[in-house]
Amino acid sequence: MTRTAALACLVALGALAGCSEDVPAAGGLTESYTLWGALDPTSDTQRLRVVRITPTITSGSSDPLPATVTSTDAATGAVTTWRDSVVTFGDGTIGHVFVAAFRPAFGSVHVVRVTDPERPEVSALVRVPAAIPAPVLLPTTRQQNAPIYTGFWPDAPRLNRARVRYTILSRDCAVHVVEREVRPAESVPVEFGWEVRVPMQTEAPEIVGALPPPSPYALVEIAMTGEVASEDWRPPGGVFDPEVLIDPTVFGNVSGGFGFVGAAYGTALVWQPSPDDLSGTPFRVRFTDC
Amino acid sequence: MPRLLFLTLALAASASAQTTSLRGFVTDAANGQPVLGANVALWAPGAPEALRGAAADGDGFYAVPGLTPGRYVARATAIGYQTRIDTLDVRAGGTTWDVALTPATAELGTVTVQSERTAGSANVEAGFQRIRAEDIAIVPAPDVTGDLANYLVSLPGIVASGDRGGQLFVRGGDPSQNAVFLDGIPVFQPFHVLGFYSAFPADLLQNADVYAGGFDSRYGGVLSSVLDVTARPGNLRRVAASASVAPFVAAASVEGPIVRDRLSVLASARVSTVEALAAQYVSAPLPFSFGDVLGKVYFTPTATSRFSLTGLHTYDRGGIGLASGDRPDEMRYTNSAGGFRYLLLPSQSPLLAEISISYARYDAELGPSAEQAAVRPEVGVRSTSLARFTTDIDLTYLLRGLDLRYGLFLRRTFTSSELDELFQNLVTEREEVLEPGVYAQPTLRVGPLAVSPGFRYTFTEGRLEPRLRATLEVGPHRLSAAAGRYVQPVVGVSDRRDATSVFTAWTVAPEGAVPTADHAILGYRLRPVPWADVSVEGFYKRMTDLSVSEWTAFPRLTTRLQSADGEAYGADLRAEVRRGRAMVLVNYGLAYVTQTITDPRNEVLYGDEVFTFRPAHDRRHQASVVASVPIAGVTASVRWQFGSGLPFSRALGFDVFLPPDGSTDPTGEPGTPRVIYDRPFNAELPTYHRLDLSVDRDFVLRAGTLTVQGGLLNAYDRRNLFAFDVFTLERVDQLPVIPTLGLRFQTRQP
Repeated sequence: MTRTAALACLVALGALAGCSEDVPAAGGLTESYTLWGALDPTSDTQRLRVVRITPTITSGSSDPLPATVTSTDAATGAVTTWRDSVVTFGDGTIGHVFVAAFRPAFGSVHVVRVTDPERPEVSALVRVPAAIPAPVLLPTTRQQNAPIYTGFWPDAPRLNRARVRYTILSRDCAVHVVEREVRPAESVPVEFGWEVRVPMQTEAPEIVGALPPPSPYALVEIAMTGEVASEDWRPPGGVFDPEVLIDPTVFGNVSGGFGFVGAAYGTALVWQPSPDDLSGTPFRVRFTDC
Repeated sequence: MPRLLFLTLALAASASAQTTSLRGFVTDAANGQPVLGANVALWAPGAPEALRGAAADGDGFYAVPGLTPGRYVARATAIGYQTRIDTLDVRAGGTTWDVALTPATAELGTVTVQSERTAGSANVEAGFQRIRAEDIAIVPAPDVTGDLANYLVSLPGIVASGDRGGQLFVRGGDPSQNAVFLDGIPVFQPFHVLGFYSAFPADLLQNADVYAGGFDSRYGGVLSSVLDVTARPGNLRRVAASASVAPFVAAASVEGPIVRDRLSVLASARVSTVEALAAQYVSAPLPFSFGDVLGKVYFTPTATSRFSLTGLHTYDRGGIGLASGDRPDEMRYTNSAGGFRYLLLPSQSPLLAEISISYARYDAELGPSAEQAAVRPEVGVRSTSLARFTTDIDLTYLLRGLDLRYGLFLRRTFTSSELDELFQNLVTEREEVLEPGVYAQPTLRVGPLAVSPGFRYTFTEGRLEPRLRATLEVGPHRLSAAAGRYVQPVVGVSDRRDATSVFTAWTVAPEGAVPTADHAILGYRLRPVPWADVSVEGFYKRMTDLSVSEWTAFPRLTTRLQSADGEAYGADLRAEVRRGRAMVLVNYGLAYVTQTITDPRNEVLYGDEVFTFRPAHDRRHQASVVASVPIAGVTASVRWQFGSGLPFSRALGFDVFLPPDGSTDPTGEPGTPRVIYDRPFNAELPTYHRLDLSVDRDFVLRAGTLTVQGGLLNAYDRRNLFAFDVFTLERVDQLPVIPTLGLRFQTRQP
């Protein structure tokens, strides 16, 4: 090998030896905080989970967050400063939940801000849904001789977390409460509001399967519950799929950060089914000796 | 089977009535072992232009069919041997000429050798390459004996997971898509946990045939590649032994005749010395323990038959992660395999018949090391097993210009796994599969053109796999091509969210979703002078119904599997120069590998239902330079390897995810840790490169030969990454700079 070639090899090796050995570090985000929570116009206390985005995975720190959280009523301009509280969860992780003592008005608009002297500001625009009339139970229809109960929420822009709670007596007069989530296809917007359907043809067998003996059972009360939420609280595709929503860019309303801050309040529609309703189901209305 | 053999013999007898053949075995006169690649040439006296010839195969067998009875001059040649010339009377009904070649003592360059060199890094033919023990010897290694694995990782198109783990990705395929055989016996995980070593030490090899793709119909059941290793038989003339010790491995072997020239035995054992020796002076932890035992009995019952019995056992235990981590940090596995092979040449017939029967078993476990178990008792154990009975019957009918090769196969495979929910949606409904079938791979030769169309058919599954190989050789030029369809009913699934995952769970693919691959290869080799080769080869591979880990930002220690299609294409460039005992190899590989997942969720996540990404083993550029030269009485060898960075999913940050499906009391719900990614595999790990050096010298003593080797692995101490924990930013590096000193003693050979 000539001297020139040998020198060229050494130079090349030296250049390669200088190639970085480091793995590209985590970073490159302009977002600084993740917010999770909801304003509740029926409560005097509001709570907001604030998570500082970190370059490595952590179990949280009890040190105060270097951030100030405020909310501003867009109509009145009133500013509320939230207080940091450190929460140790059951799994040992630590989180920061900011708390504020105020009741946002129905139909109001608020801007929640997180300011950190070392990071860009993070904010979320939150629209509190207006108050709606009480939900009503529409006339019962039937499917294959089993009832279909339909609840109607007038003027509700959106109804999240629709659930049905069944209060049941077993033959030994023990009280059982079975709560089931309403299938997404059965909780839909309609003209002038929102409807939730409960087809007992499919519900009843699954409820009975969850009950302990002894049968038969008496279905004494049904309650439909749901959260009236702002219209923007709608996931892509209309389904809350955690495997999709885990991606922070898929669903959120936080500027300069990730997460979602919504507004919602709970509602309930409760009734006692009639004997005529329950024909075609395995349930009775009551046991006379309970 | 009897009817098939009878029909074949009838055809053979009919054909031989018009012409005759010369056949026999070429062996080494010193030890009685077959001489693979020896050339036997024939010509009528005074008519050398009418030369006919054949090359000896792994058994040393050759056959020159289609001869007219009469007198011929016969010449047998092989690299490293003295030429043998004889005059023969070839009679009707066939003539046998067994040749014992005497090893040449002259320098290679001065031996008058007319034979074609069939091995060599650049002598690649449509994905096929033959590797000899002397090819392996020139690559610097941490011990004196050398190992096939250390050579393989120098080849373009073969991506290793690093110097630990024993995983090889061939032209974009997964390690579980490679088939490896030892004397026809499958070995499911032949590569040791320390990446320099396999179950095949170089000094036991007769040859290793590598098909990086486009393999013919003799082979099936895998999508990607075949490594077919033949162990040499034990010395048939005299007893020989060797022993070696080096910082990583100690080895010993003994061989010799039980009945001279008829029956020999070979036994070899290796055990790692890493923890006892290398770990004492290397700063990095080296938690590796491995070993292997190989035995072979070779018997020549008659002049026209051969019998061999081979057994292998390997064990491995190695650290592949961090004891402080959430994932199991230790891999443990064993291979046990055994089988026999019987070769028969019916007299007066140009037919070669072979039957082989084998059993192989692989058991693996991924779990905590003792250190991790003490600090992380919650880390669980995952295990998998794979076992197979195989029976093969191969018949080759040799005619002038036509080799008719066909046969039967019967394989029964059993799988079982305990995965601790590693793959959450893996349902192992079928845990055994029976594959009876037939194959045919005739080869037609017309002048410089050889075409070999074939097929493989499995009865129980109703699968037809067409295959085609062809070469056109004119002077120094050779064009080669291969194509085929390949199916893999027994699949290995791995969590390949990063390329360093070494645990593979084996299962039977569900019906209707059996992975399939289509290959296409086109290559060109130029041999401008007998001592140099240059080749270029392009390849394309399309794969369907692969099982890949589901992508998620949940930092789960388990994963779900989903179906994907894959595509790999690229080109290899190789150059090789050999002059005397000096050699230089330069290899470069360019490859593009992608996988595609079709899922409605992708529409939301990436804007399109079809999502294509680079998998974790997609290494775009690979290069290696290997050189070996005798200087001042020693042999100096150097190897430099380069690989561009592997894709990985770079985390942008970490936060907590609370499902936003309704109002939740934030004081009661801790949420789930979340990794914030851009897109999967959107970044690259650092490049890999390493320089290895070695110097060795032989000292001839009265009792034998002592070889002393000194070396330096990773000479400029490059911190090459093996594994990286995205969550904690902790990394596990490959081996640092390591000086080595090895000794080997071999008993004297007359």
